[in-house]
Amino acid sequence: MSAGTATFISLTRRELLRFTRQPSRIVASVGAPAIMGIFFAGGFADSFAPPGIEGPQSDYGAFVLPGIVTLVAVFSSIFAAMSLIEDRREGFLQSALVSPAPLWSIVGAKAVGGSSIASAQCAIVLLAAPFVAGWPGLGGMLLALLAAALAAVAVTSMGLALAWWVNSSEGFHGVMNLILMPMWLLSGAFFPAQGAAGWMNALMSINPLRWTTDAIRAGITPGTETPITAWVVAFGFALAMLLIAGAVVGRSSMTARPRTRRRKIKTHD
Amino acid sequence: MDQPQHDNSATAIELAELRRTYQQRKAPPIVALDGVSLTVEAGESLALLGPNGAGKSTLMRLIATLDRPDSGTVRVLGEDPSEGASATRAIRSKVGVVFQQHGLDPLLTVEENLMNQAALYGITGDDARSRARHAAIDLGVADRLASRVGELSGGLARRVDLARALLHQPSVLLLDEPTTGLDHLSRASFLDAIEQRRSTGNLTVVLSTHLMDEAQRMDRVALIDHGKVVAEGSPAALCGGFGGLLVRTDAGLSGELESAGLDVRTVGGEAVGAGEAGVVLETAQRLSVRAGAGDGVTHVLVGPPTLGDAYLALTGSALEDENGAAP
Repeated sequence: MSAGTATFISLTRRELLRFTRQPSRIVASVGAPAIMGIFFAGGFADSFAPPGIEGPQSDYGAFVLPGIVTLVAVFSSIFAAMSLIEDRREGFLQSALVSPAPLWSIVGAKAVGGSSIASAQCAIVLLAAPFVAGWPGLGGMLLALLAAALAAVAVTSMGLALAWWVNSSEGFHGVMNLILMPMWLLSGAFFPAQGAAGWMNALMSINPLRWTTDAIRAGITPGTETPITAWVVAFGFALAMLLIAGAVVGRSSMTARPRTRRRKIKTHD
Repeated sequence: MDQPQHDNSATAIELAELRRTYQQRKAPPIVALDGVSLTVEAGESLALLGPNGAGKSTLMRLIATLDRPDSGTVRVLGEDPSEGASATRAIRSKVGVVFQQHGLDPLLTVEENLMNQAALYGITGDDARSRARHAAIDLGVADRLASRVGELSGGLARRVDLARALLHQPSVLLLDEPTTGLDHLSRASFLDAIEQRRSTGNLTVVLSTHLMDEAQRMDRVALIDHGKVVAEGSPAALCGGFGGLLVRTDAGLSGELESAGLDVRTVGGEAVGAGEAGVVLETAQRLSVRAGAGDGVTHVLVGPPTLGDAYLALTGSALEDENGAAP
């Protein structure tokens, strides 16, 4: 087995092991969105009916569930990407970079491991779908999971590209929140694009998370087909972010100056 | 653990005229290395001795192929990393590195960490497991294989880190301030483990340190100051340039030392006189009598010159101790 393949498998397994050994991470990435979902669904249940939505999704709880799945994907992926900064701080990344293992195997393991964990968490939240929106069939559930997984791949890759260059978790959080919170708020998680103001509707239509959320929503809504645009954007978003992450990391590879912590620079060493 | 793979070339590391400058946004560039040239023979151990900020870690990063020089050449085991990815991979596969901070995952067990390390070098399955166990036995951590690294003491974690760096049987071992944060016992134990490893194979060791006693244990020492090698040689040869003995006493007594014919320097509130052993002993005895009589002398110490003295003589500045204070 090549060093690349062996590293990829071993470090992906490491990501999964690390996750199971960090209960706080599980609670933070699933608990927070779940609480938000419950409170929003409970709070708005009898106050609003989403405009322009008919059928099972006219119930606000059923409407908000896909948005919560998206939020779980986003939260979990951010945590996964941020672990790259921890690896750098703890010295693990430097030890890996000094080995002959190719960079793609090191960062790829992070992307796959992180996306897998995020997808598994989304799957757990999706289990609520039959209770709030009716049973969409196994195919619908799997399609919803696929859409969530694509969102996870995209956000994890975006996060890894950023984490490769940002040294502090505070800075990482700041930038990710700046990018992802508006994306999530405009994803159709809480209100449908149909009822939004014109300018906001336009923003939502260019927001890739809106389309992945639409794909999740279509998947868990019985008798609904996913619009082809949603799948094209969902796949395109994931692919584009993967390519960007690959380009960012690959650039370091070519310059032989990867971003490892150089504490000594400040002391002229 | 098996013997390391020996390289046929007699020279393990060749560094020629290395320069490395770090650009800063609102300050002048920092010259970390300013024309460093060094050679390390296969099987030899070399200490890079200098205070924090001298350029040691930058030099280690260049040898480990984690960075590139602005100019000059690096050649490790006959390979030049600037020649491309294949040369870089060849070097990395034969070099083990222990950094100032251990490269272990605290959430994983010792065995899981070692297995990960093996995978980075394409070693998997039973071979990886066997190497992990042997490395753990060699470094005295076999009974902690199932423990998470986060639960280990600093000294044990360091031993595991050394096992990690040696797992793929490198020909060159780079140790970048590896004992930082360890107590004296753990430090000695760690250095003993490296010596034991050296004694069982033709392992080339490069150690960067600001601690004299660590450097003293190596075959050769290169004194680094402000990105330059100011002297290199065996510890004995570097210290021998001072003649027989040194006497250290109060700074105010430097005139008396000079009048006794000693070569005097004042360091950190002390006057240090160097010269012939007989003259040094006679002067020290005279000062000791005065110290005993409470005649303005608070302390008198006599001993052989150290690498710190050599460093001071050559650079005009003192090495730092573990806590960053001048000795």
